Amino acid sequence: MIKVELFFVPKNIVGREEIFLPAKNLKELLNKLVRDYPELKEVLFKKGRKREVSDHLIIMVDGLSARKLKTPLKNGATVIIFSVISGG
Amino acid sequence: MLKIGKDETKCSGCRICELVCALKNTGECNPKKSFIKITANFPEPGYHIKMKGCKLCGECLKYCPTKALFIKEGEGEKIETAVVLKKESSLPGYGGKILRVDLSTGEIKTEDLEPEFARNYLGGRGFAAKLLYDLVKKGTDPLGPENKVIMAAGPLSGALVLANSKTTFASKSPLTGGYGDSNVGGHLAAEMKYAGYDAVVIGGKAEKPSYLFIDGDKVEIRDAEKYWGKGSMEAEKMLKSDLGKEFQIAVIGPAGENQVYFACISHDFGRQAGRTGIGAVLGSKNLKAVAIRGDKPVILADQKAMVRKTKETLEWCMKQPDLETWQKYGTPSVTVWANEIGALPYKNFQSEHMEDVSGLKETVMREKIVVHDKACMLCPMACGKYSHSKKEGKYDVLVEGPEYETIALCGSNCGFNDIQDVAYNNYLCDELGIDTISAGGVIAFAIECFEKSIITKEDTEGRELKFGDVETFEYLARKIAKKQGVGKVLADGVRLASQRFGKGSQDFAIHVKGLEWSGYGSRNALAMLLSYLTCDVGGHHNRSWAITSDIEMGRELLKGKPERVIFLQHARPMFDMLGACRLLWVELKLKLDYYTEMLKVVTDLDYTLEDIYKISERVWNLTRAFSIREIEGFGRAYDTPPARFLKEAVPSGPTKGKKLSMRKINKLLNKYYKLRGWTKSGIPTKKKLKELELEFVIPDLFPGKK
Ligand code: SF4
Ligand code: SF4
Repeated sequence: MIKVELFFVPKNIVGREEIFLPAKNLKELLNKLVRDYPELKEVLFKKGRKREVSDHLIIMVDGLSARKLKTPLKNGATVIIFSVISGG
Repeated sequence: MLKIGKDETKCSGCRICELVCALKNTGECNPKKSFIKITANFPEPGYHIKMKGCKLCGECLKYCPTKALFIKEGEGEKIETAVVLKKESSLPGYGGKILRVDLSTGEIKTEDLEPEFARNYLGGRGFAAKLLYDLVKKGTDPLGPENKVIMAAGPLSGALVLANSKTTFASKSPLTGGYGDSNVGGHLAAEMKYAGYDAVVIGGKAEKPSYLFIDGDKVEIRDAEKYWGKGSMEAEKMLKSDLGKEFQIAVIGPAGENQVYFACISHDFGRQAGRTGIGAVLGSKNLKAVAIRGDKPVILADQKAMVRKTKETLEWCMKQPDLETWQKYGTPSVTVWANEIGALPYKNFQSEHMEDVSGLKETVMREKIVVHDKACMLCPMACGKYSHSKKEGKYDVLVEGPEYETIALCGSNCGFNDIQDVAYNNYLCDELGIDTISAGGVIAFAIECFEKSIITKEDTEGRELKFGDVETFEYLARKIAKKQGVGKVLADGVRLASQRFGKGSQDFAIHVKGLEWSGYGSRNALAMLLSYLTCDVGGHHNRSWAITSDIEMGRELLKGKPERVIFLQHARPMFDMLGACRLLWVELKLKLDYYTEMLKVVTDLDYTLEDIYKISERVWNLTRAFSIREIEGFGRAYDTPPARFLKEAVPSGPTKGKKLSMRKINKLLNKYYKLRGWTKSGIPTKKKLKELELEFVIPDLFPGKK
């Protein structure tokens, strides 16, 4: 299982701050999120295409930034997903 | 026939409707000509929408971002858009005048805004920095009559440009002794423009409590005896009721009157130009407030293009999936995230993570205390939250906020995990007129001093000082504002207070250059750290907010970070020059081209982003030069972090075990200075100053040398 923590826009769309999902890599994880929450598509991917992560999104896998869809996910990993912000 | 529906509970007070109505029906960019009027119900939440002489054209309905105005029935009358007001202006978009007031002599005069000055410094922060550099003589006492307070609007304020509300206040800071500025949203900047001014320069000292009354060309120094001693919001309310709701007010609280070094300036019932203690400078001048109103139109280079472009952009904004999040929660969305990445200050930055933040969540805040959304001038986002915080037998207050920074400093940093308590702390600071960021830093510092027996019950009238305790917070905030007892020492900020207290307290006085560190712990975020160390005014995040760059680039990596910080230090202060808010750019991803396009249609200045960044760089070097001129030994020695961050590792959370090393800091600074064209001591070189057309600075920085 992968623990997904959401902040800002993705969190507001999903309506939850934490989700648990099985996934082998980032691509699978993001696709599953879009399957369950179609509105996320526009936020997660560049121009709504499923090939690249949006420039306005930051993803951290176990504390490290990850953008490549091929990024593998170990069972038990924590993935943090948030939209870019300008600071409080 | 059109029947217009109104839902005042939704209105955010953005006043887009006012300006749109005036433009459509009179051709003037002047809300005073509008058939619709929006007034705040303060202290009650919300706004009152009133229509008088309405032509039923329905134009305002098309723009209202909250749907507070809507079609009940029928459709708008087909009315020709009024002919654009034609008036020759050598400087379209600008007010055209600088107002200069000497409170000692009572002299009031205006000067024309020089086109070359406008071209080279653009407005807002740029104007403020240059005027301050020129008008404040070396060695001036920040709280003496010779110091000046500059209040400056940007070229976009007053025009139909989204979220264009920022007013910059600048002065020689009593807290840092160097350059100080801070800006505030709301409705002030636009009103300055409608009164015909791009900047107001306030010098001297009034004999007795006074306020500055500006109604267009009519400017008077008036008696303020009845407002003196009043809280910021109370005084603002009194002034509005005495002068009329159209007046926009900048006001200080009791802390400003008593010259607390981190006193702020308040406006619009809960917004503040908080940082660097400019409220104290106004207090030292016996100036309680500035009240301003104007009914002149802003003359535009291309009014039709401005309206078209803003309409398109507004429609685009309303479709962005990100809008709702920020509308609903505002900056408090940042709290849980900051905690999760290990950046949330906890108990005077002892840690950068708090075990449980559930009581500070934005969702909890929205549900428990938020009663209304509040926008700055022409902003569709309305990120401001108006709250009602109440605990039986303890407090019952209405307050704008808390914003993230207040939650971080007056919340977690003071050990709170209850948003109601934080809102009450926020209210206290606002009404007393102290900056919530510095106040949270100072109060947390005092509590830690107490825990370490550096201050004792003898200093606190027998009281115990505790983290997470509203009574402790209230006691200290009031003592500080009145400068009584231990508050007298704390009122000078953590740098000076720690020098007085000694006993190792300097190590945990969390500041840069004397300005208390704001809401992002940076022991494991080197770009954010460099942003803090090199920020021109001291420990502030706003010039370069680079913590997401840290996450993307690798938090401990050095490579590329000085470049990134410099880019941000030029891009972000650009907004402070234009008078615009950054949130539409980053949060909604509005392209920066919008601002260059708007600058062109409003002022006719044909600048690329690079041109504006160059001006930003000029201003950055100028403010640095101001502090070098004023502070002996200023430079590298002042670009350093608090000892705590070097000596103590973060004890918990995702950045556990991390602390800073001087080796890394020196590497960062070396590269940063080199890229900036500064010496190893952090002083701009003559070459750099010449390149930026700052030759006039050279004799001040290199005295005696040719
Ligand atoms: S309907 Fe037209 S005239 Fe009436 S308030 Fe709105 S914009 Fe003004
Ligand atoms: S939300 Fe803005 S545009 Fe709508 S009625 Fe209120 S002030 Fe006017």
